[in-house]
Amino acid sequence: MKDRRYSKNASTILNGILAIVLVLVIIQLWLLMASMNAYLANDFTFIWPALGASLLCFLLNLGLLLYNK
Amino acid sequence: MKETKRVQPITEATKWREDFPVDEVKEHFVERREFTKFMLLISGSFVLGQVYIGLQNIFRKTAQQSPIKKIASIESLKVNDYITFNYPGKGDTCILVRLDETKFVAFSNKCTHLMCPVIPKIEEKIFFCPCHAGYFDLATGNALSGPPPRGLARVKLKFLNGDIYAEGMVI
Repeated sequence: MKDRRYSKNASTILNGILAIVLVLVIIQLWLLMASMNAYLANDFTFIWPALGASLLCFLLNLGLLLYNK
Repeated sequence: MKETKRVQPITEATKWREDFPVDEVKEHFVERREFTKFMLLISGSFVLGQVYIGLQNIFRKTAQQSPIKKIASIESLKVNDYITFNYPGKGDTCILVRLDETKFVAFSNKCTHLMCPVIPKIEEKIFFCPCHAGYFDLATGNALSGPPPRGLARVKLKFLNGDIYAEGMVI
């Protein structure tokens, strides 16, 4: 019985982590599309900040997954 | 005497549990974790994509200058007329338009939306993309309306001894 309650709590936490990860991945997808547009338009100012932001999103995702391990 | 309903002994109830030992809650718990790991993989691939774009940007800056190529002679093109040519490579079609006696413009023929070939409409002073109704200005190549996100790439022209040469692209 105790195990079942613990499983439900952990399940809720994982649901929350999954929701955050999905949002971050969608943000990364937008950053990638915007970077491609900037590259095609010869705009050099956007590409490197976008890479930094995407890397930050990836590190957040990694941290969330390791937190729940 | 009433017939009592036979209650299943405990041993029979646990038999099917031995055959199907999977706990439903635990099973779902593992699936979401695997999906989250997969999302992390997707996230990493997006970062790699960004790095690739950054490297392409660096290589483009250090790339060799575009070749100089003769397009046509000035007399061969009448006012308000156009010709197509390939520059810098074979598959890169471009359009040269003579706007008046002294003004020539040349642009890439590929629409910046989805690379359909654009059609010059000299009398309306536009380039028209028939795929999704994109419009570009004839003199500047700027996107006027429709889905194209930016103007046409311009070809740098050079005039020498009565001939017109292409000497680079300006995106």
